[in-house]
Amino acid sequence: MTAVGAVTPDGLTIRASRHGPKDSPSIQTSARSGRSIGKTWLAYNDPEWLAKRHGADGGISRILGAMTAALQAAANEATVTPARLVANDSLLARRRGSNRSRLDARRGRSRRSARNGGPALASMSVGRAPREKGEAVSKNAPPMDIDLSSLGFWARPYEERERAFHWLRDHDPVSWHRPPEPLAPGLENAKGFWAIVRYEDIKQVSRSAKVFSSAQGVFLDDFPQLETILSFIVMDDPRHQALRNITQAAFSPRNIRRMEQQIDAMARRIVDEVAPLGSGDLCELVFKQLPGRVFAEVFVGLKDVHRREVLIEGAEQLGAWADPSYAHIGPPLAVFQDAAQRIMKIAFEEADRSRREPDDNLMSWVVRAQHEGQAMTEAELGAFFTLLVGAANDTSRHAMAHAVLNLQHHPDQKALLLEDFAGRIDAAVEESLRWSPPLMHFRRTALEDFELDGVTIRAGDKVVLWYCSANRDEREFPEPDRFDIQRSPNRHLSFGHGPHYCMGAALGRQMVKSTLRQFASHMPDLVVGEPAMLLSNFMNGVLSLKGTWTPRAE
Amino acid sequence: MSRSDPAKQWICQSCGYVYDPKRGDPDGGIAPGTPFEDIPDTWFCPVCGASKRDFVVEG
Repeated sequence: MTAVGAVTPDGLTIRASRHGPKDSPSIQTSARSGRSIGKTWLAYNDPEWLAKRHGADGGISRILGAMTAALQAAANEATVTPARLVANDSLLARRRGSNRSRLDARRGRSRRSARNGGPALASMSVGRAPREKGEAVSKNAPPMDIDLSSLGFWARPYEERERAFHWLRDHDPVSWHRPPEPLAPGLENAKGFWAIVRYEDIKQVSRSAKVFSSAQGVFLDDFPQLETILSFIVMDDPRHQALRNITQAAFSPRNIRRMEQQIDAMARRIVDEVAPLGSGDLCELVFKQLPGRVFAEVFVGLKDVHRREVLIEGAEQLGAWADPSYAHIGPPLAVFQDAAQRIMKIAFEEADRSRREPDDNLMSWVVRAQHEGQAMTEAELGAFFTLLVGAANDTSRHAMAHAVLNLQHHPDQKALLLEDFAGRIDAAVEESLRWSPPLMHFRRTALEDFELDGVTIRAGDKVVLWYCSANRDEREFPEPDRFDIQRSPNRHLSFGHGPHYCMGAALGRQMVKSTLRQFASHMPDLVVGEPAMLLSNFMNGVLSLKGTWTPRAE
Repeated sequence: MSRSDPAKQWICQSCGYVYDPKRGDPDGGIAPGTPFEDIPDTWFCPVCGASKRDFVVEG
């Protein structure tokens, strides 16, 4: 084991060493008092890539240097603007409300950009690249460095990011951004992207599915051969609709209404298990459990608890490719693929079982369903199942966590809800979804030139639709920064819009509703702490949310 | 309210689903050929669950 250390002028101790998972470098930071602020692993298991990105010593010396300023800023947040964190090419980010130091393990990007003649990160602002192209964006300077390609941006608190999106909506609604960093060694994101941030623009692009394709990828990050992992969301019509049709009826609002009591009962059983505890991480105890059990038991007929947990954890990992907590698996691409492989293994086994012992559930239906005149191949079925697992599990759990947080942060609105729970819960769930969309973007690729807000988007350009921004667009929502559970209409874009509108929207809404109902009835004095947030440009995720409540007798 | 062209398609402002009178919504009890105005007010969008009043004439 090797170790190096440094003390910042603020008295923070940074100690880097090689140990931990896979003998990988770690960074331990401590406050003046000696209290640990956090530990972050850089556990990439590809030494060659690690050396290329961070230097021959595994990056310890260079990381230390770059971390120092960031740690100072993190320790003295009141006097240092978040913009400096990014301008310093900070490797460290703080989760909202968490004292865990976060390491942005992906710092190679800005150096590459500079090498290639691109602007250095510190001098970047929006509109930096081709916008029919080279035209001035605005004389108004943004309030901060808006670098949507940097994980540093996504480490900032949500409301701070919203200020950046607010500026973009007002001054640069179709802005060009540099490529995000690669997902794995040698896998370069060759192209930048347009950021679409206004509500009506996003609806227009979403509806123009013949111009804006999903088939070349749906994330800001470029995953290769994504269709083989995520099935029909990475397809255009008619293939998209044909595959979607196989399960659409099962997730339709009509069918979910029929399932309301069943989902309520499952939520009740989970809360009955948890209520006697008095405290715990609600993500683990409740938010992951309800969608996991609904999907596994109701839709798949999966009764094995261990396999259900594999699906739940796989779903979480699938949406967490950039989060440092999964870096021990490998680079982001490996994190994503590893999750998909584990989910697919269960998909294949369950498909076999469903063929042998057909039942009245979704899996049995899917293996019998005809697509383009034939049953799905094993590969198609695996991708289809992986998509459903990811979509059904992970987004719903984050929506539940946000709903609890949002109501706690707005006690007047919580009181209003409790005055007439049955009458106001639907609108309250919608407002929470608007306020905190579980997914922040999806991407399209232009198939032909398209004019939007005076900007020419060229065929082949990547276009990213920022739902989190649309939901705060004052052109659509009066007083968008007010959390109002009686807001009407509330046509947020948290489930997207157009042909790719989230198929599981009704199920997700129902699970949030059922959970809040059980909390209100059986854990009425629940208080949650600050959440630990996922580091992601895609998923607005809550990794952990600890709560306390008066234990109820079993 | 004056009746619009019964063949007109209507779009859900919430999710973008398009109601095509030629197809109707058989799963929702709406027979093919039913003009949008003749759909009961209790009907809701088969994709997102929005109410009938959330629809506008397309185009």
